[in-house]
Amino acid sequence: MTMPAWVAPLADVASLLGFLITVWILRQTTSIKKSFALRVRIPESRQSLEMISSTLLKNLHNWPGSQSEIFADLARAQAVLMNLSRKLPRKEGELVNKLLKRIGTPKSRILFWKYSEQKVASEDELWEVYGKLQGVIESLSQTEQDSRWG
Amino acid sequence: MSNEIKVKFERLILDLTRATVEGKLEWKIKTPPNILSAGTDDVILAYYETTLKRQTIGLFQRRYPTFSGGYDGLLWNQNIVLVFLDSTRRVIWEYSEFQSALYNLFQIVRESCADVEGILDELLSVNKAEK
Repeated sequence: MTMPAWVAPLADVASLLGFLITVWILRQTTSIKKSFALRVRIPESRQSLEMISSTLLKNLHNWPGSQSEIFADLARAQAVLMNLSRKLPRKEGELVNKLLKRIGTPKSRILFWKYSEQKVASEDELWEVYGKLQGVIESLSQTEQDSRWG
Repeated sequence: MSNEIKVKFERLILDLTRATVEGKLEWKIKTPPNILSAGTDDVILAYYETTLKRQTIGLFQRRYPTFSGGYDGLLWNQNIVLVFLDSTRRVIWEYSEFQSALYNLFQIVRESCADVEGILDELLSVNKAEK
């Protein structure tokens, strides 16, 4: 018994359609996974940054005696921000990257990451970083609220 | 509120924070204006005031009930609010965004007004004297 001539083209079309649906499902799954990860990670990172900013402010009170504590605060902020910058949507990510650049951003090399020295040295610069950090926290707070409805 | 005003408020909060940390701005604990909680279930936990360039500025912590669908009941939230007052202590504007920066400002204002370090030093010096 021979198959009708139209079966082979139909099978080709169905196969192509199946492939497209698989790609679409893969994209949706990645998007849902990213959305859930953000929903959990953003509040955690925001809280960490809030705690760091609060400590930074207390240490600024004792500047310049608290210089080493302040550099430790900045290093902690740097770590949290670097972790965040890869996960955030582009606009929020840019804000985080600008702050990272201000504090002292890692420089990319082909195989390794090279960490540059912290660039902040004076009291005015520290206040500038404190202000930018508050801006990032506010931005994360807004993204967090948006993700509840996304 | 326009974006421009929001940015100016953010700058003001940072300026107030720096001036307070550097001891250039003095805050005093006061009784809050009645209008802030009249006709609501809001509770004002602590209210502080300062004057900058002849403008009276208030800062307070407010607890307020909100309905939670998840728990099918009322939950209490809290936030920090910055207010502008006129010469007769009427509230002319309230601002409660930029919460993280406002919370940090509130913490240092509260610490400076309570003089916790002074109280601790006083108490510890009495203890030493008694020994």
